[in-house]
Amino acid sequence: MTFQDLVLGLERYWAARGCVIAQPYDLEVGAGTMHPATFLRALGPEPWRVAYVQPSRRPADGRYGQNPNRLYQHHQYQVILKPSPDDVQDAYLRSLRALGIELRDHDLRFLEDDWADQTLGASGVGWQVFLDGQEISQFTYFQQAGGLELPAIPVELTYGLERIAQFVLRKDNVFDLEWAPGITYGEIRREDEFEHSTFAFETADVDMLRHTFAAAEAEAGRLLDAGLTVPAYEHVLRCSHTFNLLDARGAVGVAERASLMARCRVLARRCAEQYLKHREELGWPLLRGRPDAA
Amino acid sequence: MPRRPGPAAGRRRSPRAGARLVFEIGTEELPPQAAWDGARQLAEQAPRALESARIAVRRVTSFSTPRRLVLIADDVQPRQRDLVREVRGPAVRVAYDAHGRPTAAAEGFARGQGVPVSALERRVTPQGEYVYAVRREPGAAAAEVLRTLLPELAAGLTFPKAMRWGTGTVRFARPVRWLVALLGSRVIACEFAGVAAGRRTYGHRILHPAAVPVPRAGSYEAVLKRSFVLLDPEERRRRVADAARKAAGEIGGRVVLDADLLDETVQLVEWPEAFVGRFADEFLALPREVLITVMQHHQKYFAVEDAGGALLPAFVGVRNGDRRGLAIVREGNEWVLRARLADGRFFFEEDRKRRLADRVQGLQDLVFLDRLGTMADKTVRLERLAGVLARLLHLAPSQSDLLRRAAHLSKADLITQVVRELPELQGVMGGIYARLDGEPAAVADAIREQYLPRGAVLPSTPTGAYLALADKADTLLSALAAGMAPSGSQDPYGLRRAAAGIVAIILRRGMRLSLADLARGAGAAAGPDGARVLEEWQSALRQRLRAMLIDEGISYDTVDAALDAGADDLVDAAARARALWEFRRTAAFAGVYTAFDRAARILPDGAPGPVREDLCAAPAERALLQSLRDAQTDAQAWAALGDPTAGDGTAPGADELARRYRAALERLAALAAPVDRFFEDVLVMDPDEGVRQNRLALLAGVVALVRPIADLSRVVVGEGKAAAPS
Repeated sequence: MTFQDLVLGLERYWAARGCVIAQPYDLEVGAGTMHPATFLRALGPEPWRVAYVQPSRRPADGRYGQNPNRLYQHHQYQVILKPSPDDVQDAYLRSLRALGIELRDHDLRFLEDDWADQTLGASGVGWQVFLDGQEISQFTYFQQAGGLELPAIPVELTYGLERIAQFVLRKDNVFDLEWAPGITYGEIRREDEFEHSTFAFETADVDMLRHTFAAAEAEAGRLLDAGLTVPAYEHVLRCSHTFNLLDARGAVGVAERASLMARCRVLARRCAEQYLKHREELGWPLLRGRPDAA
Repeated sequence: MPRRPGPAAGRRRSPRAGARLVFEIGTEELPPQAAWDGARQLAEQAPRALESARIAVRRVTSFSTPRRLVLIADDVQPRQRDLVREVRGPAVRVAYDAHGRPTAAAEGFARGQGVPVSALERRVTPQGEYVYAVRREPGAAAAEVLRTLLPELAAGLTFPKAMRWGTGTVRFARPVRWLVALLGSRVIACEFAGVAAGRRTYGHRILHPAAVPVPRAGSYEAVLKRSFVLLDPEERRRRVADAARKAAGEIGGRVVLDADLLDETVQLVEWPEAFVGRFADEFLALPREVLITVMQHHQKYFAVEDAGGALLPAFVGVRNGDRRGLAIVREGNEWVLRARLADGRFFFEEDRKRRLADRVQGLQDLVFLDRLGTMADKTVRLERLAGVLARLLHLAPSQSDLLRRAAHLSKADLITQVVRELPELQGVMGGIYARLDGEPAAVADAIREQYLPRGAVLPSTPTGAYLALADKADTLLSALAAGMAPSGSQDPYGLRRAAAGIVAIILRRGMRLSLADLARGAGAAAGPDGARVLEEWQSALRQRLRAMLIDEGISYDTVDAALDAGADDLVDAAARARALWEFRRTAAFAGVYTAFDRAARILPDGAPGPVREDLCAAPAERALLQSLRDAQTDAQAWAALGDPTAGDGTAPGADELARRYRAALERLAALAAPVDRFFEDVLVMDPDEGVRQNRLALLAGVVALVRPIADLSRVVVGEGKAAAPS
């Protein structure tokens, strides 16, 4: 099995279970949760099923391509099922079997793990899924997003692709994974890791980042006023990533840290409220013809 | 219906034996604490619910696994007890006329109660003879009543963190996926959380994924066992412990069965099996605490020791399943642990490249609590508090230096990589690094002990106790100053726990100090809010002391009497409460209490002047004056007892104090007879102003002698026998 086999296996599995196969969001995000296909679609009563890979950037986790387990950018496979179906745990377990993991030969645990994201005002309840002692997924029933209670609870399955691949293939070093036949993860990603880490820790222009944050924040507010929710949300994502870069650069003081996160949260909440209002005005389009789904 | 032959066919059931009830709430994987709590709540609430529903049962038990909360009741009687309601109507003489015929009053009453007038019964009561309407409502079938009772029981379970799922509105610890409700072999048709009850349960998630029918309640546990689920947590606990011992034995080691991890593990597995895994010897160079934390907290493994108690390079893992694939499971877990320990070693070695002392500066980037500044700010405050404690406790300069050094370094481990990865090792790592840096042992120990008490474990070294006290005092004072006092059940900053820690440390070590002086020394009593902060600080600690003394078995009013006489020196206040509690259960107490009570009651507000011997004409006055003078000779000594700042720091400890207060109370008993005689022989409210004031002054002298020990007006007569509710 190669790294891309893992992705392809999950794509096929979830497509067959009625998920829209979406594409990675084309902005820098820290987690698959921030993709509008999760954050915005989680809101309101409309049913929604989606799956996608999301390259996720965590500037502070960068290690110049030197650490066998830590990356500036890793990959999550994200599945959202809303409302959460009754058999979601079984569906998840079958996805592991579809990847060739014979569960009877392993030890599988659902270990309590609740989740909260300060900048998005989102929180959920669920588990870390452990396979033979290795955390391979996060399994979360959202309870809130954008600070709003959710009428239809989405369940979010997040597969840590590098971790699963390393574990299944017993690769101590992520860069030794075979991405595709004949070419390794390291050959594709290591140089980028080095450059991104250097940028985040050493080279990033703090003044430019501060201006970027302020400009994106202002633009998000302006776009919200103009009723353009998704473009506004994209600027919130820019704020969030810029904040992460400032943080990795060591440029964020203690008091400032909380305040920057709060500023992101306020905007995220406005986006959530406005998105809901807009969907309601449209008559919750995805509810049509599905009276049972509400 | 033809009876199926079987082992039970020949047995006759006694006519009173009822059916077994099984109610299983099937869920997704519960947090271990929720599994324990849910079962406990079922066991507590079900008997009450059944009783108030008038359903007799012999025995109620409850069980839990990661995927189910289960109630089992034995000998459930098939019907509710009948309900008999009796309503008193008019008096017989009003209800019947002279001929014994019912009057309009009787007719109206019977109609109102829905019974024929002929059915009214006569009863003799203490108020006379009355007619009664008696209505018997025959009990319904238990199965019928359970249809509403069981869902209510499920809905009544509460969890610290509940959730919703799907589009439902019910909140539960985790989603509810199936219900089994069986009375004997009959399904109780009911519904909870959108799930209809039936007889289908589920076995082990992997070993027996298909649904399994339960033919009758009596076979429920056996059905589960055949489906690879051990219902009883205690059976799983035995199985885990046995398998773990056996696995460790395979490599000649002894498994360390940490009690908390065992409790947790029991609720992570339905069908336990254990295996032993190994890691490379070289990782044994890591501190034991790091190895244990990685294994126990993060990987849920039990550590393995040799006969001498040294860690072996091995662990015992518990698997939820049978032995199939056990080698793969072992190999996977070893792989994961190796990566974790390699990380741990990397972090440890990185941390060792800089001394703890060189990290203190970096604490300015770490927030302590909202609005309470950074850890650098906290460090500065702790150093100041160390100085205050050294002064108040008259510490020797060498000890004071150790404390100040420990305070300075106390938070530096928070920015080490090991603590960032393993936050539960805060303090512990600081202690290890301090020792490796060559800091004095007392400093390293104090850093390690600063977060105690944890459970019943208190700091074992003096410097550790001082630092732990300073840490909590700072947390509480800073939070109160910022207006973050706990309210109701909300205590997000752990301030009550901090207060309890302060009281426990001070009492355990018999530290004689004034809480007000400590707060003033910390600078908390200054500023516009100073008076409020001081008041809240004293009140928070007084409440904890009060609760602790009541927990010891001292009656609440005894505690209040002692604390009302002062609670600024906790050791002194506790000694007075304990002495008074002992004294209260002797015969002499009544005399002292009566003397104090009579004197205190008659005294007006405001202090009368001094006693004038020349105005003491009556023998009873002179006798009382003499007793007062005798007692006052002791009084100077008693006053010094309560003053920790007197002398050179050799103030008596808790036991000595309690002994002396007890002796003082016994000597006060000598006042009882003269006070009695005084009230009998003289009239306090003499018409002569001078005489009256002098007599009041004598009584004020009595009160003044007792009050420094306890305000006996708080004593509730009749409460002295046992500890009463707080």
